[in-house]
Amino acid sequence: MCYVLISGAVSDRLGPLHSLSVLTRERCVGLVVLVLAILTEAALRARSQRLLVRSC
Amino acid sequence: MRALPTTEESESVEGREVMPPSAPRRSEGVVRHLPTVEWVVVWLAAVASWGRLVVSLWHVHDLGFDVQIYARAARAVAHGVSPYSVSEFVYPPSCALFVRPLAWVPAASVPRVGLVVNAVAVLLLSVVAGRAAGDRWFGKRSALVLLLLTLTPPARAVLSLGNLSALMALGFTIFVLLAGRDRWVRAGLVLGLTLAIKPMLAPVLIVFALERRWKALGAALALPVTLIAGAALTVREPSRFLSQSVPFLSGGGEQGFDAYNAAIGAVFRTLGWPAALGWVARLLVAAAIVLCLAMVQRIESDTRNRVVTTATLLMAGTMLVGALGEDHYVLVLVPLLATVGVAGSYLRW
Repeated sequence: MCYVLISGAVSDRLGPLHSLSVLTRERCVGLVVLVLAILTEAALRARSQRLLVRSC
Repeated sequence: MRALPTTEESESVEGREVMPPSAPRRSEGVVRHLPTVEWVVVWLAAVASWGRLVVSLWHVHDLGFDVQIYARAARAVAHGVSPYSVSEFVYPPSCALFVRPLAWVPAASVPRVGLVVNAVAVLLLSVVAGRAAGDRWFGKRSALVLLLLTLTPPARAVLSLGNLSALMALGFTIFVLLAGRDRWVRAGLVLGLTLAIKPMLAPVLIVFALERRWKALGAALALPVTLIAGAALTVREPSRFLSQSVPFLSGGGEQGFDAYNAAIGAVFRTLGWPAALGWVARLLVAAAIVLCLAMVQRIESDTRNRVVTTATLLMAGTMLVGALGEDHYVLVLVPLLATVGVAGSYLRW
């Protein structure tokens, strides 16, 4: 999440190699990472709930 | 409610004098509401950073690119001309009435008006996001969000452009706050108002369906339909929104816009990768989001966590899978960002 917001701020200071389109690509990757992070967290919670139900 | 016993009323159990655990001193309640040093430092840093950003943009020569489009559309309406005669105006007819007061502002002052309005919107966005995350009004969390925002390119972009996205992100955050407190109809009205101005939050309507809040969904749809229909009677050539703006937006904006567009399709175009591969990537992301929404709906019992997570996922998915994902659209992620460190948040890292 922070990466999505901050990536551009960091890259801004890295000079011409980090053009506008690179920042945009970084933002796209950051958004995908965010979705995957939430998916992982939801999957972990679903698994722990299943384990809890089984142990009861 | 039972009054707390005073020190004089402290109970004696088996000869032992037991002080009630929460017997407060009279001054304690007052002290709790006094700002701590930490709070003052964080807010000072946030406001200083926010002020510095606004001042640094005040004299920028290309300030207010987008707000000048709104002002031109407002002047067109004031002169009885279609707002769509301004080719860059791609908003519903009701937006032309919303920005109508800009016609009274001298052209030279329009960029700064846009800057001030958006600066206030970003400040309020931080305050409401902190509250929606469970902190008190103007708590430390809000200050930290504001401080972070002032350091980020999306906030800088929206302030310098004067785009309506900051107000839309504020509307999104108010929606999250109200829906998280089970005030669904009010949340629907807020969302409906944003849709009448700039329909970028349309995917959030799915949240009402997922939560089975049909009355609120009706409110969220009825308000913009009424406002747009009313504006269509006032504004000239309202049908150009459908014939001109919608195809433009669904096509991902104008040529050369891809450098600003973080949607997967646009990124694949700038990299020169095959379009078919782009469609595969979009389908995979869409599948991940649908799976994620299904899991969050099934396992999450806390309304606040469920609403902020599902609404954010829908917006992130639209930016990636849809045609347009400008940098300032990312501001709608702020309510989820504000939940970092809050118990039950899906952002634990």
